[in-house]
Amino acid sequence: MRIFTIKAFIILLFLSLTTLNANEPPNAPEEEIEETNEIPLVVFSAFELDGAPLIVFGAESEIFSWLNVIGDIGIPTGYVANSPWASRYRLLAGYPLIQMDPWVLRGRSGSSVYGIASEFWSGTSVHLIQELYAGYQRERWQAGLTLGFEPHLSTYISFSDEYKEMNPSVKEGWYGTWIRGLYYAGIIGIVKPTERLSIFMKFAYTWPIEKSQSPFERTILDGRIGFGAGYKIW
Amino acid sequence: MVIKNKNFLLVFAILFSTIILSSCGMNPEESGNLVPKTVMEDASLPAETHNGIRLHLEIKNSGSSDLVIFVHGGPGFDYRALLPMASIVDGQNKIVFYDQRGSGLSQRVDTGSLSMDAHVADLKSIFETHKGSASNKILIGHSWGGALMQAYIKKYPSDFNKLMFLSSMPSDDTVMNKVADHYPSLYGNDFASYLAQRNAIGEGSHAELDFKYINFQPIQKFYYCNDNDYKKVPFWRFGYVALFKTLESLLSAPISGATMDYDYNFSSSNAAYSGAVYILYGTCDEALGKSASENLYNTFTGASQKQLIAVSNGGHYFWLFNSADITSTFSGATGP
Repeated sequence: MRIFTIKAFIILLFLSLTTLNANEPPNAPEEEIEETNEIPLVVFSAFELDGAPLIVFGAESEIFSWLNVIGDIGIPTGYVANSPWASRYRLLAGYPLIQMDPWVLRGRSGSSVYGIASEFWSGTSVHLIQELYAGYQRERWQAGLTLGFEPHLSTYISFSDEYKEMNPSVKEGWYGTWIRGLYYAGIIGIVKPTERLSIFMKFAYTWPIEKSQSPFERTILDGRIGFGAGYKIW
Repeated sequence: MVIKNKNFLLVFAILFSTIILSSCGMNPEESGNLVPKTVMEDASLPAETHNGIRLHLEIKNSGSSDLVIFVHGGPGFDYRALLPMASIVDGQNKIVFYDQRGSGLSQRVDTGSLSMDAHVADLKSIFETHKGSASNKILIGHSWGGALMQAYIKKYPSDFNKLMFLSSMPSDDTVMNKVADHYPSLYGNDFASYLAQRNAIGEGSHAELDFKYINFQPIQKFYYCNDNDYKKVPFWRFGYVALFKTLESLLSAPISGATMDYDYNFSSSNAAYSGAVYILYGTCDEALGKSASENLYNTFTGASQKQLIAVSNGGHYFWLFNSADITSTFSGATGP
């Protein structure tokens, strides 16, 4: 029952995302959800593995490779090590999955970014991932294909005091719409060291939908790697 | 506690739709939001059209007889940091400040319109427009502006009778390629932060790219005496595309890797210049300081007069931090 409800919930989320039409209620079953103290009621975190909820905590880093600007095909390894995306919460499902990272806070050290220095930079992104598994529940390693579209909702951009003083007409606030986004495709592997613990890793190639519009006329290669671990709640 | 699934789904749908709809924030591609508007969007800015491009340009002491034109650095920066020097230029000079095409608050242009030749043509047009009957015509350039000056006198050696280079790019690629050695720090945290912004704002507009360039500044600490001095350099707006595309005029090939290979030489045309030359640099400037300035100084073998001046405790923008040391030099050099 719970499985079915969660799937219906995911379908609803998908419909909300793709049609933005909440007037037509989906054909959802009218089962009841029992809320217990054992389940964190995080709206977008409901998923399951082996019939039980699995909460995944992990991090994702992105590797940016510039073909025409700086970096060639080279990988700025320091970026991965110092990724501001560390501590990004990940939620993983064993089935076609909708994943959401609400309020991804990307902290900045005071000296690292001028213009956004000492400020926080937050964004909300939604991941729609379809993972096609092979050998699910039979192998310790599971390989799958990840296809995604990551629309960027809004990002709060704030400026350093110096920048605001120099250019008082600029506007701090929320920027962007859900339309902007990134497509990505890649592979994902999952290791199950124990019955309850899962570890996953992911590599994906990402390309921005706005690439062709760049006034700089350059090509950007953008990869991302992810890793994390999950633990069954019951 | 039991929650009716129907109600739960309804609440969720409303909440999610609210998030989606409320997520439509300001447009990062629009000038005036993340970065100031250019002359194309703000008609109140002082501007002139040269070679069909609208340039942000202002004139000080418009009734004066002689002429000083300032050429800013970058490429892609603006003239805001140069403005304080207006007060130490001799008062007999009409002073022209302008943002180069694709830079500062000037009109953004196609990448094909960003070349050294195009910048030289703009400067020539400005010169012809404002020279009037000036007998004393002085060209002052900072950093990249020094390279543009050298390209200009190569083509028009007799337009200006005095040149003043401030923290200038040297005369050839030998020294410049050593400057590029400072840039492995691109792979540190600062560069990472710059790159990370790609996901928040896009690359579909000059406004977004120009905003992103701001974050290159902290990785250029080697230009200054103190780590935080870069925060004290005033600017309006960078021209991200202008920077990279214009710079390619001085490179052996388009930028494609972690390093840039400079390939240029103005030595012979510098030697043919017969006017007065003043070369100033800050002693803290590890990039375009002593060695670059000495390289430049040595090429002006035919100059009627030349001076090499080291400004102590000065970085790449030494006049912003230590203007007292250069006041007499400036007023003397820009005098009749």
